[in-house]
Amino acid sequence: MAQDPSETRTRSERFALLALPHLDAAFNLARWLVRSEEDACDVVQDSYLRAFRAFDGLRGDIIRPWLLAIVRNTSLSLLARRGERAKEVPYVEDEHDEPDRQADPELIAMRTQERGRLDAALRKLPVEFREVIVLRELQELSYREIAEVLAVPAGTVMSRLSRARSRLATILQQD
Amino acid sequence: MTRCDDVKELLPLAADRELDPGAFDTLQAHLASCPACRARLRELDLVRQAIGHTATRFAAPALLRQRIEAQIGKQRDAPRIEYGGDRWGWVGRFGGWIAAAGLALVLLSLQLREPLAGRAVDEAFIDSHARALLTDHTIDVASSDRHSVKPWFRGKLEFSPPVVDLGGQGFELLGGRVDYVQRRTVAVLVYRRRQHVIDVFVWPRPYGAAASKDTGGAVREGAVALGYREVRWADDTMDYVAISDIDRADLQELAQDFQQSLRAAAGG
Repeated sequence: MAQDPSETRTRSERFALLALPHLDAAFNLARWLVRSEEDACDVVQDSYLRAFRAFDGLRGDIIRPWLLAIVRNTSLSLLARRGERAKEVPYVEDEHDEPDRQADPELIAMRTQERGRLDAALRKLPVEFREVIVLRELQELSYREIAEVLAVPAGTVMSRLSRARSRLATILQQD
Repeated sequence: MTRCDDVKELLPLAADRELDPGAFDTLQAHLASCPACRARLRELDLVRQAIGHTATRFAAPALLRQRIEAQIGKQRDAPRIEYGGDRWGWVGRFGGWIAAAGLALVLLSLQLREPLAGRAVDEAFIDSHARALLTDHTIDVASSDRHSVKPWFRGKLEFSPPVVDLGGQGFELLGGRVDYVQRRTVAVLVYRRRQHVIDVFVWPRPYGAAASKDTGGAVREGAVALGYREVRWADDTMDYVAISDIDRADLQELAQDFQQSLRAAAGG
């Protein structure tokens, strides 16, 4: 009576209904970013709690990019605390890193079929590139959704994705 | 006729199905007459699909799901004061009730404060147990030999927790870990019976603190949450909390066996 229990139940039920279907996506993103099962669990649990608290500000059914943005930020904070981001190759937006490799599409296509090799190559990508590949190829988000998760313009998503693929191809070919 | 350089930027967009209609037409026209760009697009497409197809998609562990569900459920039980984004609509609909509800809310929260605070404290151990299981980090020193578990705690703790072997009573010693609960460092002894992990938290009673009424072997039922239950007991120097998802009777039995075995060790 005093606090309306149906109101709060509806709220948490609504959250569970909307957010829990994306738990695998959230975990996959965190797992690829922090690269540890244990940390990914912590990150996702923390993210869901944050999301639940901030849930009231959310409109419509656009929960997925919003939720993944929270997971991403929580993951990056963890990496920063671990001091890992500093160790990553600094990302320069206008860096022209078209590979001077001799493209061998067949070799790349072949190596892309081997899970172990592909996973290893992905793990080696700097986190700025890894996250766009995971969001695009594994979670199948649109450019617009990715832009929302990363809080950057769609044009940046496009260029970052193209650099990410080209780096990935280079790594796959070198191995 | 468009040149390859003019459409180079469009190829990845095409592979991602992100081309706007105007650019799509431009690209189509070029591709129709350019085998090289057709091949390049096909390669992009293949690599894209292969990555999506092959790279590992990690699925959330079942325990993580349960844990989050429990956490959301617990939030629900806690008294909340805000009513969401739709607050003024809510006020409009229930206008007359607001004052009464406000007063009742104050009374209710006064009533709730005590038990809620108590519960948060109680569940700290259950949270620690659940977290350890969730992250597969139940044990820092894995050994069924109490003579190697006990020395391991030395140097990590300012006290020496009693470690008893309960293998004969059907509780296999798996090892131990150090944990931090309620702002103090505690020893955790990990036992197992029938695939159920049992954590026994041990910490010394602060110097000078009166031995609680539990002293003398009384085993008290503690909190029940998230599918785990706990029992508590104490002896002359230490406080104990045992937690598991095992039956109440088993947990009671462990508490009794633990004390008995300690007394036997002291007596003999």
